[in-house]
Amino acid sequence: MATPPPIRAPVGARLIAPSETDLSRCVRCGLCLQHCPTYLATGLETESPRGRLYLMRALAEGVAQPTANAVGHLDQCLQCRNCEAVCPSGVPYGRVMEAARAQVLAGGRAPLSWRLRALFLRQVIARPGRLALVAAALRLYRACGLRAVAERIPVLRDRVLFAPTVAGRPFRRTGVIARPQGAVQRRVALLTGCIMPLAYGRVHEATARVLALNGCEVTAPAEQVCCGALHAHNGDRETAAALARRNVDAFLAAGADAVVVNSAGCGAAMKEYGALLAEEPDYAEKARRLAETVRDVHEFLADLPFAPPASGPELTVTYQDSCHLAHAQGIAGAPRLILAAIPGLRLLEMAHADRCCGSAGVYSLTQPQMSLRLLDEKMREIAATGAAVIATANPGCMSQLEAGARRHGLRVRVAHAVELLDEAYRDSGAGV
Amino acid sequence: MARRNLIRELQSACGKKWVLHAPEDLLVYEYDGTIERGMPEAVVLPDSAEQVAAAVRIARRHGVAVTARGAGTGLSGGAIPCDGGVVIATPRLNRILELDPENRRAVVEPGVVNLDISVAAAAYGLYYAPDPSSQKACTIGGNVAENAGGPHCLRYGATTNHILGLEIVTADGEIVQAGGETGEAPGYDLTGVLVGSEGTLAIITKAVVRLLPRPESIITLLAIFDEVNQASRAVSAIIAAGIVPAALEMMDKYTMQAVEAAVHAGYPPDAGAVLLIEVEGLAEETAEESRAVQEVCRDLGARELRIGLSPEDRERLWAGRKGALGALGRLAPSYYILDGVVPRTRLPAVLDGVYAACERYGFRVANVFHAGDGNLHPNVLFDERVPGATERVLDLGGEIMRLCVDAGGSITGEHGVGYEKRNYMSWIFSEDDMEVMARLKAAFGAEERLNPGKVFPTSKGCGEVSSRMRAAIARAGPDAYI
Amino acid sequence: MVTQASVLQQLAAIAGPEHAGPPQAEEYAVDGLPPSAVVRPGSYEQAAEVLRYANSERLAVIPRGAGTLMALGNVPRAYDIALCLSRLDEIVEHEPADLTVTCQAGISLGRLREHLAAAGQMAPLDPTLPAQATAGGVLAANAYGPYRLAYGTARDFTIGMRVATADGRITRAGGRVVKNVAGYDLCKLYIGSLGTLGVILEATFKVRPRPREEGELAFALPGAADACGVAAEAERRGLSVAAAQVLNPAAAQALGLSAGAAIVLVLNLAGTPAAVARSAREIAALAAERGGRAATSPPQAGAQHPPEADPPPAGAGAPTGDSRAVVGWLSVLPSRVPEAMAAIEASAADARTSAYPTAGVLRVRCTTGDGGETLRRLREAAREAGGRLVIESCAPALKRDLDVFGDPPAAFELMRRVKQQFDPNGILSPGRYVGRL
Repeated sequence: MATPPPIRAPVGARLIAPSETDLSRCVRCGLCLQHCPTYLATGLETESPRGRLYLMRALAEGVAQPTANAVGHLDQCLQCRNCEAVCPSGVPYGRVMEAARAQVLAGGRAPLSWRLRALFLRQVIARPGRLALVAAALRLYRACGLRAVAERIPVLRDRVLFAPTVAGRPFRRTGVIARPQGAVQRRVALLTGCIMPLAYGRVHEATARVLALNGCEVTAPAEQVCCGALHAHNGDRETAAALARRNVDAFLAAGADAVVVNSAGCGAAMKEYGALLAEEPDYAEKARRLAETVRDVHEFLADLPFAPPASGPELTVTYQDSCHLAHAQGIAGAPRLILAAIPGLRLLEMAHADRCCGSAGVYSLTQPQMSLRLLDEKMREIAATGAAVIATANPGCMSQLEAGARRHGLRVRVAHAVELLDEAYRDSGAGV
Repeated sequence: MARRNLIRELQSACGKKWVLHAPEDLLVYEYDGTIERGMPEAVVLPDSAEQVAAAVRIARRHGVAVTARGAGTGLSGGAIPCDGGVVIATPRLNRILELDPENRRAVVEPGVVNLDISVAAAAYGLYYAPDPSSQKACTIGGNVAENAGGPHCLRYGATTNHILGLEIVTADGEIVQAGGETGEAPGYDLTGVLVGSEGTLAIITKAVVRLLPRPESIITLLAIFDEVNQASRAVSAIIAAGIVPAALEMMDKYTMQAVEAAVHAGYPPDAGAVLLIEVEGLAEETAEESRAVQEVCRDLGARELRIGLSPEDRERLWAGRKGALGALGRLAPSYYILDGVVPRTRLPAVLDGVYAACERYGFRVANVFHAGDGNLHPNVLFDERVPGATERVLDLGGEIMRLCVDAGGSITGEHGVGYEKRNYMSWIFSEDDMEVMARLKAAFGAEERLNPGKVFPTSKGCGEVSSRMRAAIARAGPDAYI
Repeated sequence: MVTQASVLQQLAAIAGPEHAGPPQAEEYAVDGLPPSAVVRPGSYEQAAEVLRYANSERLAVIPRGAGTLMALGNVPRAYDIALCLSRLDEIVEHEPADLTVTCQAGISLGRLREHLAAAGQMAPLDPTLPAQATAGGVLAANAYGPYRLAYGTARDFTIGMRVATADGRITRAGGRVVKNVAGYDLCKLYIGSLGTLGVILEATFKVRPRPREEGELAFALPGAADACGVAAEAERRGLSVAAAQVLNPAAAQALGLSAGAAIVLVLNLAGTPAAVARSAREIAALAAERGGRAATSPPQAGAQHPPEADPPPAGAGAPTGDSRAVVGWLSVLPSRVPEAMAAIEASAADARTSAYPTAGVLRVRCTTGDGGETLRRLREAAREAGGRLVIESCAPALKRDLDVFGDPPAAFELMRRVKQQFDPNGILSPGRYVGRL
């Protein structure tokens, strides 16, 4: 990397407090309530989208102060945006929550935990070298058997469960990473991201093969950085904007027809680059232009449309919607379309597939209790389907569901939906 | 000090975790689906009828009022604690205790979400008929308190026609069974008067609800008209022709615009009004009725008729209607929803009057309502941040109510009187009429201890407590934090 | 000092001398107890004035319509004035296109039906003696018949009332629109309150279009469970059944539906011609599956109202019928109707039972020659089936030892307080109601 990414850069005032227009859109009809995992778990209005919007409005107006209690309610929010997807009034809840968190952080009265979290995200997640060190430690933790021991010790079990799984070969390739056998029909650039290449390199490999098999030349621009989603979610919009700028430059330079993202959270964040950088004269237009080319990998494949595989292994699969795919990007049909196209695969829908599993970025680490509660419910619903494979669309969800399977002693495999498509292609003898 | 003791006692009765008293927590219990506000001194979330009874007795000892709250989706301020006091919220009382398909009834706790009963009963081909537009969120306790309606009231009646019995906690904190063991219990129909009593007589802790078999055939029709007046005349004509559909709903232009933006229901943006008509029953009946309805609509100038036969098509047509209210948030920062009723023959004239009044006041109005019942819902769009706008909207609301009353109608068809309409009560009821109602309240020992400030005219304003509390929160002073 | 003469004088002053006087015949007696005076007010104001006077003098008033349902209730504690509403018999308002009708309490259902029929409509009030019974009386007694299956009971379609309070004020409850939640729904409270909370002067009903096609089916089936099963399945399928009755052999025989020892299911159909035709076919098949065969149609086939399982009950004040005759209503969960039918047979050998299966209501008519022992057995039978027995009529002598409504219900204390608030001086039908309120 030629120059290290600027760690912080100022952003417009609009981004560090929810706008009045956004806040006043909520008419308190309550249709969000039954879609909010934390409201369903607690029954408390304070842990509901409507309640949080009202609280954020009070914070913005100075009616309420960011006390530990008030900030705690913002903290309990998964930012799964299920509420946003069902809101008849169109409240941009994700945007409001990010801005409210930014406001608290900027106000200087944020709790220590928030400041430490922001520091970690800025100094580790956004720095590939440091992140690789953490990943190496996690890899060792699992490989040496320490994890298996720790997860068996009752007092430790719940605390260590959410340490991300890092296994398999990391993905380090850049430049053109896959070419079709025949003529190039599309040129796409792949966001490799921060954690994905370290924890789930195999998903990138599968993605590249699947895209190539469908006539795409796949590039991984070397200058790309972390998408900044986690930073934005946690109120550090300055870092998010800085990362966004670097990605805008990197991906526009790649000149691809589309930016393909196989991580739901990252895809959602990149689609919102236009809004994030809207007040920056140098970047507003570029960011908007780039954001228009961003596609989730399922969305992209479904639109092509992809070639249905000729055969596939006999499998029972249940699909867990990734929140930032289903709710933030509104894509629930495409992954199911892909799974349904695989011969031999039987899709068994779980109850509440579109309800958050409790992963939610760093949520499982910051709110382990609520996260566990949601995960336990999720695993019960998964077990009820009897499926052998859980397919999903985001690394955080994969890691969480793997942890859930270990915790519940469930013999299921967790896979990215694209991995299953890749396997079906290989099963049918198609190669790149 | 007194408040500290109140909270301590509530905590020991219901568990520390389930008593909210921090100012930011109380703040989010000051609203419901209306523009009213009122903040409680404490919120308690009991887990049993016994805990409800205990909370009521504690509040009573401390001389503070009790207001019950379900999901807070009400449209008359029913869940807003006008006098502060204790809010008893029911989300934890959300169990379906018994589902008895053979006798077509279910016993549910008050916090059960309306739609969840039908979901649970679906396995037996049964459902719970009353379907307020908020049915995905609103609770049975709130439905019973407000005698909630919904589009399908036209054929199946409102909540009151589907409640067989109740368990209540009285203002004295006693648990009492009212009806519900078998179909006909001798004695005064207490269940009947409790339904729709807006939480002022007792707190509901259980309800026995009636379940209906799913109809064999359902046809949904969308009739598109250029003019509102054509649509409202079609409504009267359908009823006059002796057809009582399961639902007969109207949406006007503004509503359709908002709905289109929200759910892409496929409503034409340039039409003046649409009627959403549903016929249910045996296939032979629905075929015949839908033909007859189409004929009437065409005669009255419908420019297009769409028919939804499959569940998906029907759901799409309905999705727009059920989300319409929330979708209005897209048109303006605030809306004031009215709930007048008029005899069905007066619908065209009154609707014209509503539009004229809104124009005179300079407000936009979106009408989306249960036309078949003559139940109007003009939604006046405004911006509450504009000084004086709220007052003017309330004045306009009064004028519209007057139109309904003068036409021989009522000030509320399904939302309840609540807070803001209580001063209109005297337009339809005499002092004597209301004195009799007050006697009923006295018989329940409720006086002003349960949901005070609602239903009956008083001069006291809601939200006085709220503004005091808000000021305290802003200061984060010692009386806000105990 | 109130004397009969002073009462009569006062009432004559209110309603006119030709409409006030001493009781001419026994017909005004309630459970054998005659009033001191009968008054027939000609206006709401006169009715209210009678009550004002009675309240101030603590005179017991029992309101009445045609008297067809006066047998229901406990023996009155006192009875000074019979407040007869027969002169208040007008249609107040009927706008067919609104599907509502407002009428005065004293109108007979026969006249109301005629009026509505002219507009192709009906008010589904369905008491035992439909033609004579008055609207107000039917509401006060909450009388219903088998048509409740399709149309519900009065509480489901009564949307407004005018009621004179015990202290003589004319009040309104509900309204004239079909959907209305303003204020407490006092109509519910007055329906079935047997004139103990106020005097109903006027009522507004939701009406419905008359069905285009009607029909009647009767099947003999091996057992009550079979008959109830057919009715339940027909309802589940949404077939055009407006009324259903399950008759025991004695009741069937009394109707001329001779079917030997079999149970008879009588179904009244209503709907569109195509729907009624299909319903008849499917029901016949359902009955056949359960070993049913068509029973001889009763002579009234096709009438709007179903056959009554017994002759008219003895008028309240005119115990001309068999003094041992008893009519009772059992209420149980619908699933326990067959069990209740069997228990009734075991308790009263000559019982004629007619059950409304999906409502869980059974009407029993039998004789008791054993000083109330049969009644006690019936009551026990009801209890064992998880329900209760309300005695609609029996000899006044038997009533003195029992509450015709059975044990006070769970919420009796609240009911007592309601009565106390509405009628603090206890002048309205004193002692007649549940728990002798």
